[in-house]
Formats: sequence, structure tokens, C-alpha cells
Amino acid sequence: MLTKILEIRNIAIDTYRKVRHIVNPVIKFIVALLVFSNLNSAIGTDPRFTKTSIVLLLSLVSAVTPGGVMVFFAMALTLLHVYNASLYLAILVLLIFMVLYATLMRFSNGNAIIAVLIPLLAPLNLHYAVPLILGCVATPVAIMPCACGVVFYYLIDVIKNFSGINLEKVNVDILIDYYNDLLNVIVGQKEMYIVIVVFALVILTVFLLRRLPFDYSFLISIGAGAVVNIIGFLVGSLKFNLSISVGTVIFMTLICALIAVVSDFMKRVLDYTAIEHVQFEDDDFYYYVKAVPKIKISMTNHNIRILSTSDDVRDSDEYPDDEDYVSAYSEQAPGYDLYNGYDDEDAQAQDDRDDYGRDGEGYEGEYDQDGYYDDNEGYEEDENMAMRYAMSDVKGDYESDFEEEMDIDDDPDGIDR
Amino acid sequence: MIDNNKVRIMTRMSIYEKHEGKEDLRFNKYFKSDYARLQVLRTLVSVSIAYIIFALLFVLYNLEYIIDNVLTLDYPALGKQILGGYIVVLAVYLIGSLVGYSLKYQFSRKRLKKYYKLIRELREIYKDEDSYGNEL
Repeated sequence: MLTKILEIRNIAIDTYRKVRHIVNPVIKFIVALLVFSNLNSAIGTDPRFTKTSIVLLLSLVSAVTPGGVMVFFAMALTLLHVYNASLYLAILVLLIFMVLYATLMRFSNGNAIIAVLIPLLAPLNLHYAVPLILGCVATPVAIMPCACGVVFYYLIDVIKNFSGINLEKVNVDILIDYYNDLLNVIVGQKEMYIVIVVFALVILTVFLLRRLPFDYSFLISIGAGAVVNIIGFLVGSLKFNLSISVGTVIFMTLICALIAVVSDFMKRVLDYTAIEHVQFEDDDFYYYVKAVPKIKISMTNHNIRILSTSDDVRDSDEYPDDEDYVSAYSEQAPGYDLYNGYDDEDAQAQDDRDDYGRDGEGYEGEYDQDGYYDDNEGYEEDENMAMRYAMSDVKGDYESDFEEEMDIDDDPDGIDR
Repeated sequence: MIDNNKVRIMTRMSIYEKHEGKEDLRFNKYFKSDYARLQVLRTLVSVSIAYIIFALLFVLYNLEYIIDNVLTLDYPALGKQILGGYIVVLAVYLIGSLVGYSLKYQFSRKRLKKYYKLIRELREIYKDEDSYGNEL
């Protein structure tokens, strides 16, 4: 069962690697389309900006630009819709956006897209997955864009109330109420601040626990993050009388924890039954290394080679297990290499094929999971798997090349300042 | 004739330059302390602007109360509270940005060292090629 799941994971990752240059922009385009469509349906007061052509154009530009551009478009769209309702409210919203940018968004560090993902997922209650996944893949700086997303969600929630109303014609008292509602989002909204604090705690909990060197730390950190999320909202709900359904929070947190586990499973699978503890030293340090190997399974690789020109053999459909057939046929026929299309080079290539059925020559030089070109991926990675991945898992995700890590101090150019 | 090893090194370098390299090479213009100071200064400006706007929004939110009590408000105490809040917020942001940007700089140096190692390898290949050409 587990082997089957791992095989599916391998196929999914391989397929993604092959098509990621197309899939990534497509996913971004779909996310942008959903963000702008939801925004327009929630607060779309200006018909000029709710047109499908405008939404498609914005989504298209967002698909091929960094995540920050999508956030900028979302904020600009919000501002334009509010401006259509009232100039003064638009000025207020602009000031709020300026505060958000200066205090939160400028520290987003490449995770700006989270600011629009939270308002997108919140109506489905799937936004609890965001801090859990961020804790697994990002640093605590991700708290900033996450908090910005929460503020953005509550802001849209308030703007919804006066969307579609011509504020120039309403009573002054009602207008002042709207002003107060809008100001209340950033100044006095307790619920929003509790959500921000809980999400920040979840990110910190998952981040800190996943770095600790105990078995199954990734799974345990996600579980702990889910518990913090539930307890945080429970306390907030009881103490501050929040309008949050506790049952929904518990159920959706469990679903979101499952999503986070699947996401982590796609990133890495560690074999805790084969942990290596090694000790060694160099001139400067003595090392105690705990090496947890990653589980890698070999995929079945059917190579069909036609060894006969006769019609009955050429049709490979008649031989369900072609690999066995080729093997058996090759052993029984001593002169098989004289057949057409099978020369010494082919024989050498077959000898070079490793246990995983990969051709050494063709496999050399591939892009690794993080998108970097790695000419060692293939043979060396499997041979030195325990040691090399130990370093990456002990030290963190940003360093995985053990050999290069060891001689980083050797720098004759003197760039170390 | 195409040198596979050279192509491999140049590809790795090019991919790095395309992604983190852009930012890392920009950091390379600064010493660590200069870079951290510059970022802290930027944070100082942005947080100060944000605090002023936030204070303005706070005044607007409580405008009714302020107008009602305009004569009885304890302005020195209010000023102290606003200043105290500003100092606390500023301290948190400045310390956070100092630590965060210093770490960011350190990580970029590590990546740059690998990049320079590739440059050295490439230089060796060119040296070998030159010496081979001179021999001919």
C-alpha cells in the first residue's frame, strides 16, 4: 500500500517537474482569476472594472509576474471600487493600505501571494491550512503577509456592507457609521487581532517544532500547530465572545492539518527506521550527525527492444512481460548482439544501466526539486544519500550540498567580509 | 568543440543568476553592517510613516470623544502614551529587521561562495584551454 502511494507520489512529482513551466503560470492564473472574480462579486461597485476582459487581463499579467503584483492589483481594484462609492472612504482605505504595506507587506519576502490567498480561502474555512503549511515551508517572517491577508479579509467584509449604495445620497449619520466601521477594522477589531495572533502562534509552533531533531518532527509539528489553532480560537471565542463556530474551527482545522500533511508528504518522505548516527571531525569541529534517509523507490522501467526481424516477434503486444522476454531471449541466443540495431554501444549502455533502470549518460545533469541544476543528481545522490540528506535535514532546507558546504570557508577571493 | 563541463558550470551559474543571484549580487555591493544599517533605516522611515497614519486613523475613530472632551483631555499623558507606543513599536521592528536582514545577508553570502567557486572552476578551464592553445 505504502509502496503504491510512494509510486504515485513519484509519478506526480516527475510529471510536475516536466510540466512545471506551464503548470505554475496556469495555477497562478486560476488563483488570480478566483481572487479578482471574488473581489468583484463581493465589492464590485464600478461596472468598468467588473468586466470579464479586465479580470482576464489582470489575471494574465498576474500569472507571469511575481505574487506581489497580484496583491497590488487586488488592492488597486478594491480602492477603485470604494472610490466609485465615496472619495473619502477611498482615502481612508488608501491610508489603511499604506499602513499595511509599511508594517507588513514590505517584509513579505516572496510570500506576498498569501495576502490574497487568505481572503480567498476564508469563506470555505480552508484558510487554517495557510499558517500550517507556512510553518512547514517558510520562516516566521511569513507571519507578516499572513497578518496582512487577515486584515484584507476583514476590510473586504466591511466594504461589502456599503457596496452598491450611492453614499453621496445617504444620510450623514449612516455615512459616519460606515466611516467608523472601516476605521474599526484597523483600530478596534478584536476578532481580527485574535486571528492574527493565533495564526502567528501556529506558524511559530510548526516552524520551531519541525526544526527539532526528533523522529516524525514534521508530522508532530503540524499536529501541534493544529492543536494551537483550535485552542487559540477556543480561548478567543470564550474570552472575547467571538463570532466563530468552535465546531467548524475544530473540524476544518483537522481537514487543513490533513492538507498540510499531504503537502509535506509531497515535499519529503523520511525513513525513520534507517537513521544513521555518525561522528567525525575536521580541524575546527567535532560533528555528531543524525542522518535520516529519504525514502526513494525505483519505478518499474519497461524497456522494449526488438531483437528479431520476424513478424511474430516484432509485435510486442503478444508478449505482455516484454522485459522478461528480452532477458530470456538474450541469454538463450549467444549471437544476439549481431542482430540489427544492437551493437557494442547498446551492450555498453545496458551494462551502464543502474539498479533503478536509469541510463547513466542520459540522467546526468538534472534540475533538482528546488529548481537548481545539479549534475550530481542520480548516482551520487543515491550512493551518499544518508550523509548528504542528513545535512540538509539537520541544517534546514537551504543547504543540501554536503561537499560544497564543507569547503565554504575556503575562499581565496576574500569575499567573506 | 562544446565542452560539456564548461556548459554545465555556466548553466548552473546562469540559473543561480536568474533566481536568487539577482538579489545576492545586489547585496554584494554592501558590507554586512552597511546593508543591515540601510535596511534598518528604511524600516525606521516606513514604520514612522505607518505610525503617523495609524495615529491619524485612531484620532478619526475617536473624533467624537475628542471633540466632547477637548478641554479636559490630559495632553501630556496622551503625548507620553503616543510616544511610548511609538518607541515600543519602533524597537520591535528595528530589532526584528536588524536580525532578519543580517541573517538574509549571511545566507546570500553562502550562496555567493558557491557561485564564486563555480567562477573559479570556469577560470581554471579557460586557463587550461589557453595553455593548450599556446602549446599548439
